[in-house]
Amino acid sequence: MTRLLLIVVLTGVLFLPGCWDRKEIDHIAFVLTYGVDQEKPGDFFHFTHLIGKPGMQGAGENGNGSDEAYYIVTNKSKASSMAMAGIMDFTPREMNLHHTSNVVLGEQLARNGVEEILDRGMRCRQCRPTINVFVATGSARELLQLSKSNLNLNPSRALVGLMEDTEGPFTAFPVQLIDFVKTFLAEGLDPVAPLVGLKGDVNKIANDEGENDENQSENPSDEQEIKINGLAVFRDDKLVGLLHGEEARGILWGMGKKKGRFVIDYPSPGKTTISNISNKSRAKVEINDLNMPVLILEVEAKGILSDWSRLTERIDIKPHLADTIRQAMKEKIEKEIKQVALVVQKELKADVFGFGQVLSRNHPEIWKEIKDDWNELYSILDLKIIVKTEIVGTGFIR
Amino acid sequence: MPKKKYVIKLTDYERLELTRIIKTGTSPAKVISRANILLASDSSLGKPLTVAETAERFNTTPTTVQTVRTEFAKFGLHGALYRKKRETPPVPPKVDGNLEAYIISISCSEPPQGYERWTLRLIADKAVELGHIVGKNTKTSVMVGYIDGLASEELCQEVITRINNIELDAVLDSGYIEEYLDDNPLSPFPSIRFTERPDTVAAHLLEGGVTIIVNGSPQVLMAPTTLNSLLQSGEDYYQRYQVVILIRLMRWLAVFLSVSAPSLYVAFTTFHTEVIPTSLLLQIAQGREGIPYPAFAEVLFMDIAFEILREASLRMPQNIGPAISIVGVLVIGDAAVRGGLVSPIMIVVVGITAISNFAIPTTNLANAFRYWRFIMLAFAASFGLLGLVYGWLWLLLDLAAMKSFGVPFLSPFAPLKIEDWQDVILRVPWWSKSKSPFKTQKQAHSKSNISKELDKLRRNKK
Repeated sequence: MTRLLLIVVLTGVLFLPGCWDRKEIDHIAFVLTYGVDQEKPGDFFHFTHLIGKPGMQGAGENGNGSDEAYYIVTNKSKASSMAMAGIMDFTPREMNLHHTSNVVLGEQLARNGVEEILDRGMRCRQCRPTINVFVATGSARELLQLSKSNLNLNPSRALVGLMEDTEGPFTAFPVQLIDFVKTFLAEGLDPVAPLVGLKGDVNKIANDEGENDENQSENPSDEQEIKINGLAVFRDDKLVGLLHGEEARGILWGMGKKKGRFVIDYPSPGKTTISNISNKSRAKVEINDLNMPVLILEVEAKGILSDWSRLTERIDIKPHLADTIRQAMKEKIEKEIKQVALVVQKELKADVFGFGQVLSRNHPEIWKEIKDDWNELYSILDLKIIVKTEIVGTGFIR
Repeated sequence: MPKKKYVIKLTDYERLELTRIIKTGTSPAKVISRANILLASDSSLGKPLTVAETAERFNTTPTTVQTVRTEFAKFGLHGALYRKKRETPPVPPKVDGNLEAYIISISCSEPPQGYERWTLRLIADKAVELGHIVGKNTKTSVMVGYIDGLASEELCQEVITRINNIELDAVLDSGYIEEYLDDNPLSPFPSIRFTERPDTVAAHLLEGGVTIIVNGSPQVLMAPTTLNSLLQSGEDYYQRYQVVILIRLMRWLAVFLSVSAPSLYVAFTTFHTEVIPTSLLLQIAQGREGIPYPAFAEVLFMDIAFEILREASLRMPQNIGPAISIVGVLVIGDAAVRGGLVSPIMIVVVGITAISNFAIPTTNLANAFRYWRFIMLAFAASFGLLGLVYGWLWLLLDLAAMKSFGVPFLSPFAPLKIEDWQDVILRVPWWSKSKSPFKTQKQAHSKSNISKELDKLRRNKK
């Protein structure tokens, strides 16, 4: 009897998912990246879906065609959950979001607020919460439609590669949807996201505004490559500021996310490059005598001396030289953080370092009183920056 | 045309060799007679005898003499003395095939007391004495072998009882009586092991097992057996243990793949596309593009095609076997892909499955897994990975319920006996190992007794 019951129950389990989940692979269209734009708050959402085309993936027999390995469908809808509805009328395959790896938010949409899009990303059954979040300079649709990756089959893969496969990125760090949402939901912590644009546009804007990008490529054939352009700073779910170059790097130092190489102006004239930087940071809040919170940002940076413009000066037998480099590195980092911390704190009023969160944990009674006005209060508080640097690998290299 | 006359001139060496053959007399009579004819026909030391004289002297016909002379002239000394040996017979080989088929396996197993070695007659006599004659018409003799003191008495009694209960008209091969000895007639898994290798038989006897030898069959039956022992091969003990461990792990992997590779493909591509890496997924999608059948039908089609090819290639004469295999595999496979009948990835999956199946050392076990492959496929096609898990659950329950002559088929995994794991997936080196793997619940002999017996045996061998 027990045995019979067991057989029935076990077999019954099989029918929980059942045959109706069956879908042949060639009846599905896989969305690799989607972008969202919106002109005014409350207006239509413009969705751009980048769909991988089977048969154009390179290695196969038919993969060498001149055709694109992907195609792009766009539609607009009032509600984010209806993004697919219009597309289904002319796309004869089931749209599937299992393999989506990026979501690109248009700049204007980000300024209007991204809460609804985040909600869709987290609530949708097929979407992975670990997809990368990007903010496009300009419109997401143009970025996806115009971009051409010379090395990768599609811009989607290029976006993933920029975040995960390189030594850098130097002015941004990968932000996953789940992290973005967590940061957004946390009290006293504001999200940031990497900013991307077409290389041609990005460089043009930079030149117009008189900013000088240190590492510019001047090859016209890669004008349409996607380029990391810095960081987009949010307050709650709304974009409040775009930081480029050195400014973005300052945020990275402050958040403990700096990777890759870093150049300091020492000894002058000359340059020293420090690589494989490990970077940690910690936000602290202390209450001073006037019962006012004081913000303290502790930053640690450790790197390998990778390039030292004087071959003849051997640091291994002159330890004081290493001290000098350490000092120069410290000054440079401090300067970079200070510059941008002022902008972020005073102008953007975005608490990207999470001082509010620290305060709410350590002094909940104070936090209760001030949490509604935190962003205003935060912008007038004192900020102390403490940088500790260390340098290894100073030995003479043959 | 007149008969050509051959003049035979022997060298000193040849003459010496012929004289040796005649004097020692160990060669077959035919060879000796031919040697005599050649010596008599030798013209190098004087006038030879005529054909008729030679024939008369050695009591043969003139034709034979003429033939021997002709062959000597054509093929030399060796050709004239001995018959040309036939190469591999142009008949279909047996389905079961260890490449080296030792038909002599019977005579190499342990001989009865008082005899130095086995003869077929002796085997038959012994069996008659024990009363193991099966088959009303064929009267095939069957011999049960075990080492007294190592094998449990119960086990031997059980085997003998079962053999005595056999009622068959004809027993032509050990396969006939296997079904009578089988513990689990409803399961596709064998509870008896076959081998053609004398070393495997000897090892089995020394481990306390029972062997059943059927007159006229190269296959020796071995009982009891476990899944573990079916997955072992004689070579395991002739290689260094580090290598063997890797090979054995690979074999278990091969079992898994041969049962579930096609079903994994079907489950992944039709139910769980999210687990395939994106670029591979699009590649598979490309292959599937324009294929008219669902993935399940595609797999089934290729699998059945392969099974037919496999069955056919076993029966093919050896000369054209490889050619047909190449046509079957390469040409049909390639044409099927180009014709849009199956996708290229499918060929890879079926190929991996087939190769994995061949990596299982025992044919009847491999066949059981082949059978299960189709069940798994049906489950996976209907219910995805969950179905596959259900299928494996069923398979494992089937295996766990089986017993072979009182030994659980899955031992030492279930019931778990860690102390018996010395020769399962790991093979500990000989110097650190000392145990009999088969222990029925009422083992007649204690451990120490067994090791004493083993020591005695080893001493006797030396």
